[in-house]
Amino acid sequence: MMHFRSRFAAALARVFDRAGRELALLVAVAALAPACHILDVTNPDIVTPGSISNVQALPTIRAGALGDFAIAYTGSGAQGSGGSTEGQVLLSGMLSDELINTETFPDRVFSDARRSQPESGTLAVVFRNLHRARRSADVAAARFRLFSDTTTNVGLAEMLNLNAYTYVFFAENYCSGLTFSNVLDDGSFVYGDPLPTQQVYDTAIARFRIALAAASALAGSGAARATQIQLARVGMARALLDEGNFAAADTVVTVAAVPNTFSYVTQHDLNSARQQNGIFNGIRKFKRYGVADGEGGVGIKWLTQADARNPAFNSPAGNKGFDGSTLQWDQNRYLDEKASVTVATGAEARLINAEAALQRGDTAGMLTILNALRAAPPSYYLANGAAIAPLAALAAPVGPVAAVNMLFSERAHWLWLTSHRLSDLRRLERQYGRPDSTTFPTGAYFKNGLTYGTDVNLPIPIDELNNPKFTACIDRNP
Amino acid sequence: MERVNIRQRVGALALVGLLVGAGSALAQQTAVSGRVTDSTSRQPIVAAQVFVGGTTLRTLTDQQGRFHFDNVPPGAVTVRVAFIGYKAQVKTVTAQPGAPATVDFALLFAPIGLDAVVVTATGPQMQREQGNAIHTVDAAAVVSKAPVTNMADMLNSRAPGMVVQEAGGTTGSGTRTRIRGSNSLSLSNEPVLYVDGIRVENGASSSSIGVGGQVPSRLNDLNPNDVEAVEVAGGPSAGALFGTDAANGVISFRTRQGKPGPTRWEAYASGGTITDNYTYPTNYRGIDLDSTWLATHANNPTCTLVTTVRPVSPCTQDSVRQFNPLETNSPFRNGSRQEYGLSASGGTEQTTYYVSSHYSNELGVYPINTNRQISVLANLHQQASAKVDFSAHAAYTSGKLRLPQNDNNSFGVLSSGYLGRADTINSGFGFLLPSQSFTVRTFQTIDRFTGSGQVNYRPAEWLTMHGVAGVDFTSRYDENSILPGNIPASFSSNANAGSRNANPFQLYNWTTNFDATAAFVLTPQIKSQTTVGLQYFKNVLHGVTASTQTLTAGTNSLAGGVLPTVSEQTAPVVTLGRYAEERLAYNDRVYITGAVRDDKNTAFGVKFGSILYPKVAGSWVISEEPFFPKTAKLSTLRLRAAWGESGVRPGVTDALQFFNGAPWLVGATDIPGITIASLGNPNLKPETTHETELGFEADVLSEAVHLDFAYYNKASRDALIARTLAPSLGGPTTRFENLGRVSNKGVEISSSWRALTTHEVSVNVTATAWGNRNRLVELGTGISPIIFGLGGASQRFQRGFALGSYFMVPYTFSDANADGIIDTSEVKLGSAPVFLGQPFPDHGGTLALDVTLRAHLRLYALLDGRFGNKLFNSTEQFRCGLANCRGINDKTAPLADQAAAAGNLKGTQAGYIEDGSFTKLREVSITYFAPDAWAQRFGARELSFSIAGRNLATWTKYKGIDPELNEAGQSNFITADFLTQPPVRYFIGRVNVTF
Repeated sequence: MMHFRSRFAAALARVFDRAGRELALLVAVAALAPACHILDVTNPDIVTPGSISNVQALPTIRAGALGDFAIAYTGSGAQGSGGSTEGQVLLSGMLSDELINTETFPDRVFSDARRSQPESGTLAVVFRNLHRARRSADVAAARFRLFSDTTTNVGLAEMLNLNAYTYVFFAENYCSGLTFSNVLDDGSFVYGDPLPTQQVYDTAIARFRIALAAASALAGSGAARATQIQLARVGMARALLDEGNFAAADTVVTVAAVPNTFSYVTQHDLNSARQQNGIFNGIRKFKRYGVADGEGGVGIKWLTQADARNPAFNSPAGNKGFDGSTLQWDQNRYLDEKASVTVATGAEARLINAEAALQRGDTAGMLTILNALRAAPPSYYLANGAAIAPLAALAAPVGPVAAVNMLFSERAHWLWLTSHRLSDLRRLERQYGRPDSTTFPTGAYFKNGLTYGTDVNLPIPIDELNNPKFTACIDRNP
Repeated sequence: MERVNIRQRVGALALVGLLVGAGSALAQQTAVSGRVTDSTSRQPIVAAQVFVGGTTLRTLTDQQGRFHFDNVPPGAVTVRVAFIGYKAQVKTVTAQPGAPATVDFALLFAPIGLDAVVVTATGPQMQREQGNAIHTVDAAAVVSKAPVTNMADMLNSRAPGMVVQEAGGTTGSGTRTRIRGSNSLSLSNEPVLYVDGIRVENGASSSSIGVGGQVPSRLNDLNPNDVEAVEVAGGPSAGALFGTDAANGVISFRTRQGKPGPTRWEAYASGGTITDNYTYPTNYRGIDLDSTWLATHANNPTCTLVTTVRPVSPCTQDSVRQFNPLETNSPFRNGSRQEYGLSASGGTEQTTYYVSSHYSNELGVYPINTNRQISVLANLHQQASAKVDFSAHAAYTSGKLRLPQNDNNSFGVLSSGYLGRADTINSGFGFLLPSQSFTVRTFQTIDRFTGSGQVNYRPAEWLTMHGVAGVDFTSRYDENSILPGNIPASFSSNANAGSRNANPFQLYNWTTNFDATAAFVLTPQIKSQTTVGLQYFKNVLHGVTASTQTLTAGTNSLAGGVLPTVSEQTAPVVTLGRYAEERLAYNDRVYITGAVRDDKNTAFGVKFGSILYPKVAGSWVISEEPFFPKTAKLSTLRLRAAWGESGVRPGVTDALQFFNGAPWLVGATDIPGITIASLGNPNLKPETTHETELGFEADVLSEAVHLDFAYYNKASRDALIARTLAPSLGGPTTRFENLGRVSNKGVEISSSWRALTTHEVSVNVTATAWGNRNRLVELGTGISPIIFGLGGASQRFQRGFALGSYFMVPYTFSDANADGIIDTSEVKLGSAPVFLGQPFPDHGGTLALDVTLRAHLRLYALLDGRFGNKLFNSTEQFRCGLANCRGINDKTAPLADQAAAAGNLKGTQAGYIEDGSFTKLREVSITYFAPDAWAQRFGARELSFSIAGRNLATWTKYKGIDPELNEAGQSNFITADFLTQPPVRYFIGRVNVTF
């Protein structure tokens, strides 16, 4: 052993001798090289948080929040084979009686048949987009608080309104047990607890109040200020209506507070696929959804009734949807990819007034409001601003059932393809005691050999199981 | 006390060394020379590798088979000679200053040997030194006998443990390659590629235009005809010094080099047919002829077997319509392939060269599917002096590929047929007619240059410095055009108006590597080689994607469109690695290697510094020990063991929190906006994989059989998982986190058997077998199974199961009413999804037979079997979902098929997770080596003809078209047969002439 070590030492000496300067130089290079900036690279495609933390970035932040909200609401221009085009309007419209599925994707076929699967990729994307819109508006509001003059800049109120609206969509279209989580500045996650639907409505109302206060605090009386005030009022009244607080809703959206001419819309453009109107794309361009006609035996006969508020066509005659077998009836309210979509309108305020009247037992008052609206259809109804000819006045309903039917029919036609119908069907069951069999589509589904299921809302996608506080919907009640 | 003595001795010896200086050492050197010949023919072996043990001295034999070394240390000198296809020899001679030694070698033929030279991260080394398996593919031999149409064919079924998965039969499409299983859940599992010492692009799914499924990979830009050998280093134990990204294995290509001698011209011409040899399924439609029923089902007049789910409007099936559009109106043609090549090689002892050029043109079975490639290559090696040699490599490939619309694509031909009609309306096609689909023009144009230079400098016999620098640059141009009016407006008004995508991409890979190796004799028994090195690697992808809708008639340019959109992407990554390796050899029989590499990478999180990859390995040629019994039954035995680590880096921006630009219309103007793209992870670090490998090699039965066995146990820790985030967080879908652990355990066995060797006949049999047990050991606390796959929920990453396993709700069925029909009521679903199988085979093997008759006729066949996997037959599932399949329409269909269809309607596709095991007759060839007299008539030296076939037969239980299909092409894990074009059959003839 000793002998070996001695020879080893001798060999080492030879190494140091012979390797000499070459090895020393190499080792030095190897050791020092990482100290330089050789690893520095730049990526020009991304926006880092530091670059948007200033007042100059507020328009960019606002545009981002508006975009996220619009995509959550109407979808986008990407073709929906991956489920990326849909928003709340298409999915809730399909689950209700507004739309039918005219394509092949099983998860969306199942949703149309009231059998939504929590594993559905489409549901996951749409649900995620709505949360993204919620947080985007929340973060934007914080930036406006931090960097803007909130007495002159309308941005804060608008972001608060959009944030509150996302809660309305959650409560109206999804099951009970929603969670609302958050990401802190340091990147850590704060998971939310499951909330009953009632609490989600309460949250929406509370946030609309904050938005209303922010809008009211704006100096002057400009149109932008008025728009945000009215948006907050319609949103708050909508949530109050959902809670069954009809009287309170009525007082929030009086004619004086919210005129018939008011409308707040999401805007769309052809500048990028993301900016396109997803409702137009999903129905007319990609033919994955079509206008229903008496779906499931109880749905509104949108085609048969040929109401001017709900223009639809099948062209060329016999045109089929993406599945190659279902007749494709296209909506003609949103005429192209750039068409704006109404979020809140004066018409909706009047419908809330009418329902409050109905609840008070003032059927005549309700009829007056409805007929006034029909006599002077608002100009914003069709996305291209084309006028709808005055509609014939409705005859007085006979009996309370007919009155309710009339009100909800009018709501359906005025609020067509704006993510109201599903909530209205749920309210018919929840607030008016209508049985499911006369409210939601039932019986044999028109393809795939399915029968309609019992869904009255959308399930929370399984991706939410990654929230340790979430396990399942609390209930699937109307 | 002893320690002090050693230090004193070291110091004293070092001092002596410094005083004496290197000059005295050089003055004592001597020379060794000799000649290498074939033991049978006595002909010289040109370009055999000759090494002097204990030094870094190495050379190649000249055209007379001669070699010569100067600067050899005096005394006993070990000289080793190796040449591919021969058994290496070692001889010891004594040389003294002023008395140089001569030693000659007569090599014995042996296809596999311990002394083959393999390329490692620290340069060429002998196989016997390696503690891990490195499988070498003799590329030139493969090309000479097998129908190799691209590099994937070259690799497929050549090395145990390396699984090359064809996804379909589209000409120009890529493959999925896995070596020793999949390590990573979320990052690429493709191996790293090196060509002549520099890293080259190996992007899977290398296209920005979606055609539904099959797209190219950059692997197939390399021309197999220019490759001398391919070396496959399996896992981290072999790839540790290749650094970050090498955890998935390393495939090194050595291109052909010139040999000293007059210019040798080689030319070949090949051509053949490509055919689709499948029988496609018939479309079915049950019909109730009752007029009332027909009237109420005008939209969809289908009366399936499943009647009980139609309580409101039941039907009675009167007949079943059948039509097969894909057989009756076949969209396929007989394709063809032609390829021509010419190379020249030769040189002097100082300068050798190899230049080549190849042209190939393949016309796939779809009339528009074509792939044309032209490649040129030049290799130059210059022995500038006894101390310096350098080599240069330059290769250029130009290609133009046209892809069809395929797979998961409503524009696809097969989708239109599979999901078509049971009548002759629209010729039975459900969407587009094939002729309409073929009007979509999807091209990829490639211009790729790979250039590198290497320098070896040996300032002393014990020191070699090696430098290599090079770039692999690919200009890729993806384009897609739909001309106005070509697609019916009734199918898509958008497509009818026309559209175009034009996306130029540039992919850069720069490699710079410098290392120095010092070799010295510690004792007469112990030799040492020490290597230190530095590697810089930079990869940049830059691309612009531009598209427009509504083309102006008569134009095919973005300029003709009216709705242009544009985007840009940039992805730069830099890796800087330092490494050191110490190799000790004891009596040239026992080898111990210790190594370490330290990497920094731009993709690591800001809080993470660098990563250290260690490695230790040992190899013992025990059969050369004096105590080992010398028997013919076991003439050679080498034991080996290795342990090492390597890693895979995160994506370029995975560690960063950032937003993407997302403009939005505000008022009347589009203004810049943002949307959250990544939440970032400042703690992100590379996924590291460590591997233990044990193995042996043996020559048995008088060296008629060579065996190679390897067992590996590989585990990835800090597995990078694209963790699905709870949607309620309001962010992106996933965030990369170091969470999981993945295990791969397996064996690799290869054997070659010289079954018969006579003057008349030689029979060689090569067999391989492999097994891999892949498991997700840990997914991270609180992380629910990650669910993905075709349809969104067919596959999972779930703890305890193989990555990407199929999970679905099970069902049972019984024909309760004994009516011969399975209705939905007779199918009972389970309560939750269960494991149904894994998408990757877990064992397999190959069997190759090589028979040569009278040295003129060679027969070759290759069988390939892969087992243990399932495949989601979503083609049939979707057809049944659309009431198009037999199982839902035809009461004579097997009950199991009916139950699968009924289960599908009830929400489970479990009935379509089918056994994907198969055995395929991959290759068969017959080659005739013409007598010299024939060749001489043409003024040639050698002449041969061959006819070869690929994909000739399949044995499988899979019910779909082919068990190798994957609609997701080269996707990391998504695996499903969904309207996918199956592999095609090749018959190719080839003529080789050498002048």
